[in-house]
Amino acid sequence: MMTFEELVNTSKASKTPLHEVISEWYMMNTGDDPKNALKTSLRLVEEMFNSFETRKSNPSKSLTGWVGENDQKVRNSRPFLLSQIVHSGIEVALSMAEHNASMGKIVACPTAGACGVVPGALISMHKNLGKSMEELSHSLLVAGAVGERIRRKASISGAVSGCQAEIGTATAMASAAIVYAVNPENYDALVSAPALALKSLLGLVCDPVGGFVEIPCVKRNAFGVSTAFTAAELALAGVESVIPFEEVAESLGRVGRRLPEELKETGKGGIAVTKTARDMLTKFLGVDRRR
Amino acid sequence: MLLDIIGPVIVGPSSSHTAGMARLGRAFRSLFNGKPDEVKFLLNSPLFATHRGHGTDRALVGGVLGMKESDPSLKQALEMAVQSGMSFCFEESDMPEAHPNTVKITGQDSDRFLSITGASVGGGEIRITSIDDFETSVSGKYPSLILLNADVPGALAQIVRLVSASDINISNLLLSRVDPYRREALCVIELDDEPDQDLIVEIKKLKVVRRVSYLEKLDVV
Repeated sequence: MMTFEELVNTSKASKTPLHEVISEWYMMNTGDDPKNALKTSLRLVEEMFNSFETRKSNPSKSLTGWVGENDQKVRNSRPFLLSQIVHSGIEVALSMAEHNASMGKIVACPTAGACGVVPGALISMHKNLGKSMEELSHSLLVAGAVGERIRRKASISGAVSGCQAEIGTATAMASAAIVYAVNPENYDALVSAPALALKSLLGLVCDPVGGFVEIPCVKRNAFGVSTAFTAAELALAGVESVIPFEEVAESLGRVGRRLPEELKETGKGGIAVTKTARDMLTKFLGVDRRR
Repeated sequence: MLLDIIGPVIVGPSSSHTAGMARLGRAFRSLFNGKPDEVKFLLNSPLFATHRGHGTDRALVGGVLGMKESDPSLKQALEMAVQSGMSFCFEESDMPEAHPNTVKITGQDSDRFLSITGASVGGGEIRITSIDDFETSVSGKYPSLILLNADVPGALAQIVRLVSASDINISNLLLSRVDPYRREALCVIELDDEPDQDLIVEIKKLKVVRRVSYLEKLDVV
């Protein structure tokens, strides 16, 4: 089982594009034809675009009614401070996450709760940098390798390791996807970006109000994509992560094991136990009982 | 799925509470071999607590109606069930020993009754832990034959010989004694390919076989 750094080094040494190295690596792990990895990746990128288009024409609220209008607010506003590419990214991330909360069809990436971050980066790069679907499918494979390594070293489940494992993993994946789309041969940036992204979100707790994938999950998708762009920008500028990516992934697992149960998707800690959250839940369950 | 990490393509909001539940509903439909007139869902307490907010109710009912976990019409499943004349209800049940996301589904029509228990174990994957109160462990990743057979010498050989004659490879096989007094055993045979109806009929004809259920492959989407 190769590490992400080893995959990048193999790509560099063999002068083979990283996404091809990854699809071969995938073949060795599954016995599947490497062409299938590329095909699957393209299909998943298309599914992401479809979800976004569906959401725009069908802006429904979540089942609790707590979220569902944030994406339109961003869509209808011009950037005050952010660059257009980050602004588009957060718009897409909110759209996906709100689509998910209202029982829309999404690509779990790596989970349903964090489904907005990677598409946020990919769709924004399509709109603002003119990246083709094929280029994005290559970036998605690179993101997949990053996520797969975190899954192997730690976990991608909020119930096991907290939100750092969900939004954290998605953000690390997206940062590598961005670097690969901008400069596929910047090997140093490819290994630094996911390490920088993951370090910035280490320790993030999973504290959803009522246990539902809504508050704070939806908005964290927007923060995830902006952090991914920041990590990619730093890495492309030559900023290196002192701690290598795989060691950061190991730390995620270590931190996750030390997190108390109430901060791991149980809805019993963090913002889930604030007065406002409790009031909202009581109101929802009260309405629920009368249905 | 890509690299086991991106995907599946599912209807939200939760792979465990929504997608896995649709799949459990679909497993029930497959084992029942159609749509029941009445269906009841007993939800383990942690699952019951969030079932409306996660659309668990819609996913379960949609699954029993035959919808896949990627089908956006899951959202309208309750209304569609009413239109189709299927009645349903949800009740809370404390199952302290079971996986938190465990549901017991019982359903019937004029001449059939079936009860299954299963859990949604993460990422949309499921495990069926009992069928009509016989303990088992079935994932639905393969077409599966679930047999209750006589616990006598040569019973398994007779069953396997028929599978072998149909030229289908067995991917996993589990045989376990369920009742030493009645001399009954439960046999789960997971197959690489879908069996045709003739094979199931032939297995049913065997004297050592007391009942046969078939679970179709619940595709990963």
